[in-house]
Amino acid sequence: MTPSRGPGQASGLRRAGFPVLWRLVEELRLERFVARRVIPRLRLAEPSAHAFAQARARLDGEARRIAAADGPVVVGPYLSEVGLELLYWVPFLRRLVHAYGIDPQRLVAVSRGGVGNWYDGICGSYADVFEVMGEDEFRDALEAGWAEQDGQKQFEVGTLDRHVIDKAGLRDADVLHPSSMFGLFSEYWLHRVALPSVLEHLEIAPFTTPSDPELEARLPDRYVAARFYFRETFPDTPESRALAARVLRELAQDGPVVLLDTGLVLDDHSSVPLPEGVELLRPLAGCDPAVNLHAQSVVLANADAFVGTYGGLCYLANAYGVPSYALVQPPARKLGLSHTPVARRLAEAAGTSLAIVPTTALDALAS
Amino acid sequence: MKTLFVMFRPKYVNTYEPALRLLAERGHSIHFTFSVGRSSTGRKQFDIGPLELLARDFPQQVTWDDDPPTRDPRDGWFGIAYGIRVLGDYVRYLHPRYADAVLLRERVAERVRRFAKARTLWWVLQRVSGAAASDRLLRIARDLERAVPPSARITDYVRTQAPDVVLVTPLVDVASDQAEFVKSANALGIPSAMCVNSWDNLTNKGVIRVDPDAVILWNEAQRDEAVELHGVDAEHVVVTGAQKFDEWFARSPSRDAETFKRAIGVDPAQPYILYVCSSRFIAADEDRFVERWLAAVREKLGPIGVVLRPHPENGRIWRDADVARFGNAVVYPPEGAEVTGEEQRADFFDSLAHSAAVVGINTSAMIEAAIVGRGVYTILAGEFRGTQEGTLHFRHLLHENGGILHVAGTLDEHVAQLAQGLAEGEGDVPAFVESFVRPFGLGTAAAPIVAQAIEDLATQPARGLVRTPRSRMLHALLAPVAAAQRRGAQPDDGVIGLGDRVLGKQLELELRRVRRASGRIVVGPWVGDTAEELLYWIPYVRRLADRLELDRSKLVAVSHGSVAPWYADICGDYVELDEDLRQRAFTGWRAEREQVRVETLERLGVTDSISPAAMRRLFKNFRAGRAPLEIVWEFAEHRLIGDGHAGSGVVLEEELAGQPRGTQLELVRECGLLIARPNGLAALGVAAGVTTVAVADGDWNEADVELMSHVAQRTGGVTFTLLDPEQLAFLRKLV
Repeated sequence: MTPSRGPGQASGLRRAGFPVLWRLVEELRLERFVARRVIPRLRLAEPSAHAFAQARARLDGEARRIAAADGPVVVGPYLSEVGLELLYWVPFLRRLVHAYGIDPQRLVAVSRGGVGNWYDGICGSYADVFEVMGEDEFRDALEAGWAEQDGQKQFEVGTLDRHVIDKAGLRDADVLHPSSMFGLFSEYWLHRVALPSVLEHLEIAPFTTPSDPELEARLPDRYVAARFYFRETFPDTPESRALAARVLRELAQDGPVVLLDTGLVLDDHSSVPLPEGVELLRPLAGCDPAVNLHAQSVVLANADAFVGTYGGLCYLANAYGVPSYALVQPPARKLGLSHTPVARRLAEAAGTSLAIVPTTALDALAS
Repeated sequence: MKTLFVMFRPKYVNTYEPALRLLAERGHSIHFTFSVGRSSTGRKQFDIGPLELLARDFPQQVTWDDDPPTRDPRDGWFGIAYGIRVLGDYVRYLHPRYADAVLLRERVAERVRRFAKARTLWWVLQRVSGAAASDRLLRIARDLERAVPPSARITDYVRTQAPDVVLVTPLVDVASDQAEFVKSANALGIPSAMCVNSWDNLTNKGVIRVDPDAVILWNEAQRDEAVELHGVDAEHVVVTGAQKFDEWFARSPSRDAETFKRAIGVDPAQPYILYVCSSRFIAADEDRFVERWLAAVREKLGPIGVVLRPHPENGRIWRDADVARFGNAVVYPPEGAEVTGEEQRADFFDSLAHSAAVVGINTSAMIEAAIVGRGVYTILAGEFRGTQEGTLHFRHLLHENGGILHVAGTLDEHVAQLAQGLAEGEGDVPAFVESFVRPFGLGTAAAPIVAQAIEDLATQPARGLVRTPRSRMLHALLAPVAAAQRRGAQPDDGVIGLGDRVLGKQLELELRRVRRASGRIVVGPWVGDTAEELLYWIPYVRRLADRLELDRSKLVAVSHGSVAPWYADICGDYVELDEDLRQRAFTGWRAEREQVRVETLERLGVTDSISPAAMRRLFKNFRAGRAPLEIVWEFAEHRLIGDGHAGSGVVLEEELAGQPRGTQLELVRECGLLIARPNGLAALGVAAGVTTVAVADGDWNEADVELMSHVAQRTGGVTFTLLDPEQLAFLRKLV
């Protein structure tokens, strides 16, 4: 699928468009006439509307073409943030498959960490990046890709994407690349498109429960899953460390706590040091990178609740019908507030709930 | 057979539950969709209890969604269809039979006034009178409705659901777009039916504007109403009886009278009168009337017990009621209760069955009282004239129409009637019950007849879309208007429509005259709620004052609740709005609000103002979820009120109750965390720069919540978050 352009260009167009024209009209003292008589009669739209409409039209064309063709289709490779994969990419694909009548058996989902279960009912097969790349090679290539695309979002088909498709032996297959989704929704993330327009393109549904008898046998009957890691919304400060330790300690007093920490370093998140003297279970330590997200899925799907840093894992818990409590450290300017209405819908669809908890609220409640 | 049941809200499942259960037992499936859950007005939470009970017993057959499609605002017909519907509903009230229905007419008139800004149209409508004119206009409205094509979006939805039958209830809410579902079913050749949910549906709401294949209703009286008032062909009417009351014929009290009386707190040695309260529309201030009534009962009937049962939609007025001072009187349940679960049903039935008499203004519980053989009494109170004699359905209950009511003109007469009734004791179930509730005999339940009617409907050919030569002609006339609407200024793709942006610019242009004003300029008066004032109004005025470079010393803010500091950086002066004026404007129609604005300006000797009405138009699409946040950032500027918070600890909503709004904000500022519902108090926390936890226990507007989250982060560097009570309890445990 043709890569979409990034949000920056749309923004530039928008800012260069209407205000300049309006200034001209003001200079000519034609404001009242133009506002009342001219503009309402023109079939104009905001540049951001054009960007959204173009992305949608491109997507529609591509989806029709894929539906009409036969042969395998690579869906991915999805290498961006887990949270966006859960909230947007998977529901986007589900809606696409159903709306255009695409045969799921033709679709090969390509992602990382053994997440084939997330694509159940959408893609007939699954290929994992770690089947064709080692952990170190992947991390290095990923960081290079972020530099290439100026961020983690896959607005274009990058070098790593092509490399993965080639190595997976899918060079001749059609490609439904995440850029089609990122291009469509970026205007929403920038608050220029209203939520219903995005929801039209999503079919939000809970995931089927993953199975891993060997891992499940090592889990307690009832437990809370937890993972605290540092990121912009939960920065590495003494307060964050102390709070995470306190929460884990409190949770452990009530019952078993299973940590989702794998010990792997596959993204830009480092784990919060664990408190001493607290009994915490770590069944995923030393987990194979090829199945690390699958293993975390199994742990989350069987948990009573998830508590930890706000991010993809809290959405993942919700997707399995498990309530999640996600901590953020105000001001949390990178919280991505546009995602919360979508996340709320995922939780509702799975019959559970998402609580975004400011650390200051916990402090105040404690006092 | 698969049934698609379009309901206004899940509460209506209660009405049809026995019939639907029968259908499910016979292997049929039912998919529900609820208008009230639409996301266009934000995420609404509602009680799905009755539905869950049904789904629990038939998990494979009973499904639902809470986000039914609406007509696409971009298809050009959206506004036209709404206009046709609201005008059609209004003209029915111009008929002489509604001459006394002042409140009913005014309820629709307000909607018309909002829609029809053209004074000429309003002037014409005001001069329409007489049965013939009303009927003619109704026929035109029906033809206009037929001229509106089915909504592609709704037709797609119905097609995807692939039902064998489409049922809709109530269909006749004022300006309701539920007609779209019938229209789409007709277009797809799927049989459809309107289900008449209650005894007042056909007389005090809107008209049946489309032609379903069947109208399923209770009795012959309703058949006449359907034919005469709605133009339904008599052969399309199916009389079934009132299935919602089936249960009361078969039920016995769950406990004896003494146990029940002890449980609710009345003297077990005395009989009691059950007073059944009416809905908010019928009797908004019923507590005041009840006080007079109670005094009269106590004076004349001695220590007899009194049980006041609040209407569930108007339970709040009883929250602080002190009826104990009258002795042997209770409000039970304390704020009323929907009759949904088994416990509530048993409670309701016991309260009827153990009563000695039942009193009310105008409510269906009076019919239920008659079913259990209780005498039913009412007083024609002056304050409820419009919603008693002014409603046609009330007339069914009158003796002269074969009804059950003992009607009194005064409290003295009423109490005398009660005394006589109490002395005579219980009577038989009146004939009214048979004719009105069980027209096939008291022993014949309605639910099986309803279920059979639905099954029969599925086997009948659908009538399809009805088009007349006149409707085709009207379609040809309206099509260019719809095309112009499509090209017009509606929000496109959920992006800021040029309409919104042009509106914003127009408002600025119109307000340029304000800049040239030599005298003072009133900002307001603000009579609305706190959330809207803090989130939209004040930031809007701030941005406007910046853009137009207004002389702030000339600006006079007019609001209420001692909130001068809220306007300190914008306006040179602040005036507290007279409380009487505020109440008038807050509770009155739009014309009343305009009058209050004019009076306020006159009192202040000011001629120019910046009115909140324009701001409301500007942000309407955003608050309805149709426009993005960018519209707010463009036309509003949010700042903290004061210097941000400086305190610690938690303040709860309850601790702020009763304080002036200005004081509330000061109290919030002194805390570290505010816990409140996602309403005005939560907005106070955001405006004060305090971490705010909004605990959602009812309806909330998603756009407002989204805005509060952003504003908290932008201005105060704090977090606003939405939790449910269970989540809050978990967090309390955690710390």
